[in-house]
Amino acid sequence: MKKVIAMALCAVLLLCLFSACSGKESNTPTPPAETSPEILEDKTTVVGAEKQEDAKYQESITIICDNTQMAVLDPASPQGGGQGSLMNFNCIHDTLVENDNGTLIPCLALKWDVEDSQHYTLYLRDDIYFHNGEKFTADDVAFTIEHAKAAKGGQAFNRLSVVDTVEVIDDTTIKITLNRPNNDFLYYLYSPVCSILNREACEKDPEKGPWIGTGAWIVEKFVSNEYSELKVNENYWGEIPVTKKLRFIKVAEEATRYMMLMNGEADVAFGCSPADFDSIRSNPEFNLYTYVICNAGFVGFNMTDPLMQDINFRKAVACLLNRSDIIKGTRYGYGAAPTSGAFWGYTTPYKNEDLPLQDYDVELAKEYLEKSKYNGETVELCAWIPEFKTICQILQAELMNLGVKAEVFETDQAGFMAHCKFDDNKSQIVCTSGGWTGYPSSTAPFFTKGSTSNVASYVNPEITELLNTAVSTKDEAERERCYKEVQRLAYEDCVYVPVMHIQHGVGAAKNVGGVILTEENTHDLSHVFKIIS
Amino acid sequence: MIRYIIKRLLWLIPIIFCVAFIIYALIDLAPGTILDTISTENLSPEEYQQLVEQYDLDKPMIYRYAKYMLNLLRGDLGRGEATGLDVWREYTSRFPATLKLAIAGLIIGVALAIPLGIIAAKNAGTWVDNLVTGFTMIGISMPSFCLGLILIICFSYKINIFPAGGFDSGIRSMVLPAVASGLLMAGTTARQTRSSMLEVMRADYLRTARAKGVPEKRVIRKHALGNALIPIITSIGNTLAIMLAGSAVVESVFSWPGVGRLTVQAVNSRDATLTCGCVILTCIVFVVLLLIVDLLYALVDPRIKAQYTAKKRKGEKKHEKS
Repeated sequence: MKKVIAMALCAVLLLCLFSACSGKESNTPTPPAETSPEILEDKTTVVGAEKQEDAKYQESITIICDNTQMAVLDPASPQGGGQGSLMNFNCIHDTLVENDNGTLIPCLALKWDVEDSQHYTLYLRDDIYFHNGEKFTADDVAFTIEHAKAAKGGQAFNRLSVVDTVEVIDDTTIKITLNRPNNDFLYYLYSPVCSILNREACEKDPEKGPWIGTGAWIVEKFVSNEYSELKVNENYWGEIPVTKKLRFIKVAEEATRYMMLMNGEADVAFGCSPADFDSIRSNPEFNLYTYVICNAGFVGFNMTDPLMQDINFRKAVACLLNRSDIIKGTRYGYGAAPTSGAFWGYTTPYKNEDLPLQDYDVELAKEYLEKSKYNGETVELCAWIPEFKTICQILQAELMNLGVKAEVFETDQAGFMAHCKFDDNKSQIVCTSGGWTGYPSSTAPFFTKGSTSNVASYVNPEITELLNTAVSTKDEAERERCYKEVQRLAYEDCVYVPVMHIQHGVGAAKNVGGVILTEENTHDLSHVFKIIS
Repeated sequence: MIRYIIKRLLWLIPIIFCVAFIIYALIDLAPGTILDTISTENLSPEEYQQLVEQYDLDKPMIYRYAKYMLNLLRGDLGRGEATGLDVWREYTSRFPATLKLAIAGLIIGVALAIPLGIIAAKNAGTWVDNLVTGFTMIGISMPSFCLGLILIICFSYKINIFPAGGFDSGIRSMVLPAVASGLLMAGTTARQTRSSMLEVMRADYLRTARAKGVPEKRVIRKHALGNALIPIITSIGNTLAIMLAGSAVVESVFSWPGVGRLTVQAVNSRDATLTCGCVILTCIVFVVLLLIVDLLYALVDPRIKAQYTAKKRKGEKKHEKS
């Protein structure tokens, strides 16, 4: 009898095994058609349902953030650059200016005078109050700049450290002098990390003071890297949101994000996996908004490594990048191949489209390799972002096909940054993604001595000079020339080779609207709503 | 008994010293420092050096450890280096969530494991035993990540009776993460119960009880289970302590705001103060819980209670003599 049961169990197991091998169509999503990727129509795009008269709106909306940091609600903090934090800043705080598709428009600053790209005078609104009832004045702007400059290593520091002196003329006028001319300075101010804080609140309580803003939402509860609960600011100076409560939750797992969206636990989900894009898109109850943000995935070469200093070897590697396979293999086809060989943000101005993109060419790679100094040593490929670890593996296979021994070093962010530290760069080939913004000077960190973004430890005095000229000149043509020249020089040196621009996806219930997506991944959900009838 | 408790609690002091040292040493050995998690794009070399000095990264690990321990002796767990948030407040704000999850998981685990273990022991060698063993093997060997996702797909995505993540739907939110933790616990505890019960069931006193005509249910419940409880309590206590340390995987899958995730995030940020604080507090929870387990032995086993009493009498006699 026991034998019979054992045999029956074995038969059931075998049947299960065979059923798994059936010819049934797999659930693996098919890559999108070979069309140009959906991008944001503009630098900022409002997506979702339209507001309707006499409509009823859902009181509370839950938004899922991706797995980046939502560690603090202090815009100046070095840990405040994650998507979740930035979305919170947009809701809680206001900035001095706003970006309306590349044009600066007033926000807390009504107007401004620019004397010579170094001296800026801002005229502020005098009818704004913080959540704690304090009136917004020029002194709060001065405090915000001081606070950002003190928080070294933060995104706000990176933008506001160019400020030399701040002079509060009166409650509504402030004069800012930069340490050198900078035409992009006002563009720095629209970033949510430059949100205006209240001096009194921050000095009274350094931990919770930065939660006090002038924005449309008031913080009710915040648990670092977990969730935030906001309630609407009924005294908001601008348009008061129709939604009464907002909740941002950080959900680590992509699968959980997807399922929370699908079963209605969340109304909007950022950071959806490309594997789920088709499923969300095909569901009539949901919308999927895909967009390519203004950054670039690239392969970089450590210019302090003897082998990587050989341009023939670098060019050989550049010839082995099969971008269409990489995009399919890492993002199910949801990515955009670079439009030119320029190492530049996807929509950053002054992109040099005249530089031809090196196509996948194994024969050419062989030629370059023969000319190179490669001598049979093992080459290391390093990455920390999951997609880029896969790119390393693809590149490793390509290199090994050509007889180059290659190994992949996978690590976490801190490990990666330590490995590729400018002064002590131990890497050889790195695959990672770099962030740009809508203003061209955001490219400078990739070429700046000591910068964390400069993973190639690459310094070209000519590029440094061109970048300095570009940011300080008022002559538009000269700026364009400088930036395009920077791209040409970097292209010729073949230090950073663009691979792809990642296409992100946001899933939202069909009747959700008011989601403002931005090219810099600093999405504004302060006026998000959900129509219930 | 009190002396025993004090002695056990005093052991916490060297444990904390050792644990903190190990954490500091490991974070020091790990590639990257807290400065590698922030942007240093616009920092001048002098400003970078200021940051290095601010975090004492220019000093040896032992200096940072000593500084931390001195603060700890003053009862200050410090502030997270990455976030600047108070470690004690961060930990305690998450601990209730972990505690709830651990207790719910424990209830589910125990409710499944003990009856299953008893059934398996009673039917040792039969298909029932094999079935229970199969179940326990699944519980032990299935990764919690996998089990969590299966539960979400079945009960949240397909039939939508429980939320997939979060914490805001009251008991409903807790069901799936508690089942995931509970099932994993049930596997080990059921196996422990089975083996303890098997040992006890061969004992002479059970045969005597049966010969005396004691009903089988009573024999199992009172005589067998009562005597098999000690290893079961140890197993449950250990598992509960591990659950209270926070299951980072279960918490991540279900987006549960517990201490496990906090610790993982602290390690990722190379935040030695927060990591150390989390580990020390977890360590205290662990030690206290194991102490409670030890004290529970006395409740379930009169022989151990007698030992405590005997020691007490011995102590009193010594005191009288002196």
